[in-house]
Amino acid sequence: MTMTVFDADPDELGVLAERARSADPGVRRVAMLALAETAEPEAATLLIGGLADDAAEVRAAAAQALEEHAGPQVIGALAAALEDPAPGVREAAAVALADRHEPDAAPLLIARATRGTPFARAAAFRALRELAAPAAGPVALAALTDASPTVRREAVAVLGWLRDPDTHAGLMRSAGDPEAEVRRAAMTALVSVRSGVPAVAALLSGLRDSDWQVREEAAATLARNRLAEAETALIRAMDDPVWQVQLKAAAALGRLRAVAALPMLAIALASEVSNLRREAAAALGEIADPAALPALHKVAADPDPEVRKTALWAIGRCGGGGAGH
Amino acid sequence: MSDPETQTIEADVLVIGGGTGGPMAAIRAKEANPNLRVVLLEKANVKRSGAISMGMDGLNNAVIPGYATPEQYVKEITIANDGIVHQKALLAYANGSYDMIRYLDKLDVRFEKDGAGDYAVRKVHHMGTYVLPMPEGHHVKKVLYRQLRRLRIGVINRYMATRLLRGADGRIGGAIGVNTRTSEFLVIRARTVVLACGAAGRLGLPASGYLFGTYENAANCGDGHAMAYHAGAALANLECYQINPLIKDYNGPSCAYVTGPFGGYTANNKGNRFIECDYWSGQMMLEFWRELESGNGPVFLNMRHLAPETIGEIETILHSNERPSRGRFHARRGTDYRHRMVEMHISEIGFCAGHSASGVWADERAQTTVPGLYAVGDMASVPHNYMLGAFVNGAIAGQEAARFCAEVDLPMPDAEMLAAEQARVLAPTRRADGLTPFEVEYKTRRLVNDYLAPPKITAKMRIAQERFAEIREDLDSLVARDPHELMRALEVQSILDCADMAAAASLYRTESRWGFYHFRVDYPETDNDDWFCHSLLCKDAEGRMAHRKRAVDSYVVPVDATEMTAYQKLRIAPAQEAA
Amino acid sequence: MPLAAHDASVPVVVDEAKCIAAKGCTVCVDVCPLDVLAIDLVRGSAFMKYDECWYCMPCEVDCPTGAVKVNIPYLLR
Repeated sequence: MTMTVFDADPDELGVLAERARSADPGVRRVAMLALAETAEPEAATLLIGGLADDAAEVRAAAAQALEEHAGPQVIGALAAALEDPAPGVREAAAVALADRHEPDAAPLLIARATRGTPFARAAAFRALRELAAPAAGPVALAALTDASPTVRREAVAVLGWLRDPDTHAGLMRSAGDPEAEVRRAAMTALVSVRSGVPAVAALLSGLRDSDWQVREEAAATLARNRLAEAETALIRAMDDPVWQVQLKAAAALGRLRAVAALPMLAIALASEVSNLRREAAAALGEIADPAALPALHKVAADPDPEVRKTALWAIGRCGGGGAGH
Repeated sequence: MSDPETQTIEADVLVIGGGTGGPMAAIRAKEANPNLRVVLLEKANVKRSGAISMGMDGLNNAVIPGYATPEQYVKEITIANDGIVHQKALLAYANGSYDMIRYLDKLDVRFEKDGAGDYAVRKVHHMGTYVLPMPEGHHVKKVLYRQLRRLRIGVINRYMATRLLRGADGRIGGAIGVNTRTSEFLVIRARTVVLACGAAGRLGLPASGYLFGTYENAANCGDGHAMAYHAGAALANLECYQINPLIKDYNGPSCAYVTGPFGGYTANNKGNRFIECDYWSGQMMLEFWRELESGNGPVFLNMRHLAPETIGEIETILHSNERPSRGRFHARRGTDYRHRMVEMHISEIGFCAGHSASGVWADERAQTTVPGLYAVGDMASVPHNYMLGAFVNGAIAGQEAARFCAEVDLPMPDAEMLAAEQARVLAPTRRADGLTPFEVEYKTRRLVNDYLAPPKITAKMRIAQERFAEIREDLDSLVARDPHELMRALEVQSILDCADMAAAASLYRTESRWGFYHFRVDYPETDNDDWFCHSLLCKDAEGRMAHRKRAVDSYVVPVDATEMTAYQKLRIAPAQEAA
Repeated sequence: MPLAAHDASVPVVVDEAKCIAAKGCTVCVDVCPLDVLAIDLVRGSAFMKYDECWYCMPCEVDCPTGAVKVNIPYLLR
């Protein structure tokens, strides 16, 4: 019977150390993978050594296995491996860094985020996001003008998680980034700016964006933060050519209890897309104005059960009887 | 095979099953008292075993402050289960839900967060909000394994537990295991045992006829249910089967919880929604089955109306988490979510508290009816547990076991019982010819489909019992030519036990309840006067299958009659409304 | 009762050119929940020994060299 207790077995570690020095790269690679299993610090040392192996597959295995080890040396080695000549090694290192949550890693990652290849900087920001380290703020702010859109997108995400008022202005500027993926990330991150005129302005520009996913995300953030200043723009968004944007706008108008949105929501009740009909009915239920009853009664017999149930609930909320709760 | 050797080891807490709830029980027992000898026994390898072998794409039952309250959750699960719930256990889960999410988060399990780093809870249910996506949830097992390693918990892989040991005073005393690669015997004497063996998922036969193409991980074949039964523990409400919507033939989850928030939905052949029910429940499955049987079938998952960008995101999630080979399945058939709906079906039957409600009776402290024995996860009776429930109840069991084993000594196993069990286990290896585990399993499960799947008919279930009795005699002809086949030969015995339990429990409850799960054609009505109770099944002193009723404990979260029917009132057919 | 040998196509395919079982790797065999893979010591390569696949994919995903491919079993394809 073999019981794995992840204990220090000096013999086993010795065997692995020997195999890690084998002339055969296949043997070295298998040794690297096995070192992920051992909790001993010596294993980490061997793996860091493996990152300097001649064979790319051995280095990739070492990077992968280092995810199971901790400490500044490990982080430093993985951060350096982000610039390995072999893409497989770089990716393994990026995954190993992003999958962990080691607050002590912040200074090393911040240093990594400021120099080197776009891939390495983006990976460093990706790992920094989870740490929400205040010291990452200035570096992320500076990266908002980076030449690489991926770096800018990851830096925007870092700022959202930081919730540092000093970085809000930068975040809002990113709402005007030339790349749609960055603007979309900015709309997502703006949820961290709970209120304030500039934030609303940035989100309203998002609501007029040429990219529908940016518009959708802007509406979602406006819904989440219940920004009443956006009511008129959201009502206008009910005219958006893309139903997904209308749907998020309807949800936002419901949360804002926007009585002025009744006519547009009533029109949406007649949409061909049942998801939108349901969301419009739900919004009318949230608003709970009896003036919506005639429109809601029309969809109380909708062929789609979800629309029907939501309409009946909304009718109840509007004081029209039925099974509200 | 020559007779393998037997080894004996001792443990304070023995956890059987290294999937989801099992590792968490081991982790929490060790955290509660680092001096304890905690042993985690696993039939496969803890790294990739259990229902979440490839991770999970989301939490379906997260109770997060600001989105849902524990009381609201308890109420909704009570309603979804037609009132037959042990609410204290539901409440214990709900109260522990948020702490567990944060604990897992700390261990680096990734949950979806919004742009400010807060949990991005999605609304799926009509009444509450419980869905927390995990688009990067493929790491769950890796994270659990890492924590087992940090705490240096003893892990024994590739040993299958076959029977539980009990001391002379009836307390639990450990378990017997057999190596699935060498047939070596292992006796683990233990002060406490946590059963975490997963669903009885290899009970019905998938429509494809492929024995291992089950909804559940096919390793989860009801070993835990059978062991608990033979140890004298009570099993609750087994007639409340698990039957789930799934992708036709592939047998993977339909993932309404994943696609729903993106706008995907279940539709009939006209492309229209048809499910009235708000809850994942037997009622929902009844509606699903009726649509399949009607002229509107088959049933599909529809995403054709979604934007290509949205489909891309859905594919990334579905093809990298939980059941990633679904992408390959669809590709081979030319099913692209953008253009074609995905044909769906309903699963074979099983026992699984993850989506349903039946299993080894476990109370709010995860205790079974045997002192020192705990049960968690898909095999325990706490309804609608899903992955998070397995974690929370696993944690409860780990803490309780740590506490209990400090108060008790190590019971002495009964030598006669050990010898008898060794003889039973090894019997198939002593024959040169006979029946293969494959054919006995195929026949048993084919009969389960023919006679036990709902709609349940008394006369059919009685025939099933006759056929199962014949198969029980055939077990004396089972032959195993290597240790792997021996594992299958032992599994088929658990499967047969579960089939017998499914038939007996279904015959016992003479009413219909839980929608399709217990739809008894001879007793079509719900009978609250006689059957508003749990049904418990256990082995009596003579070794026979016995039943008793257990009253539903008074609710800790009151649910009034209007609330019980509130959501049903919303289910009004368009014709009625128009009239 | 004499036993017949059943033949079946197996879903899991291993590329022998990529497999490093000969170097001591047992990853796919270790992770399979149903224990259906084994190492062929003569060929120095992993192979699917029992047709009892849940097509769950840890063998493929965890293989360090990309040698393993999980196909959907024929009966449900």
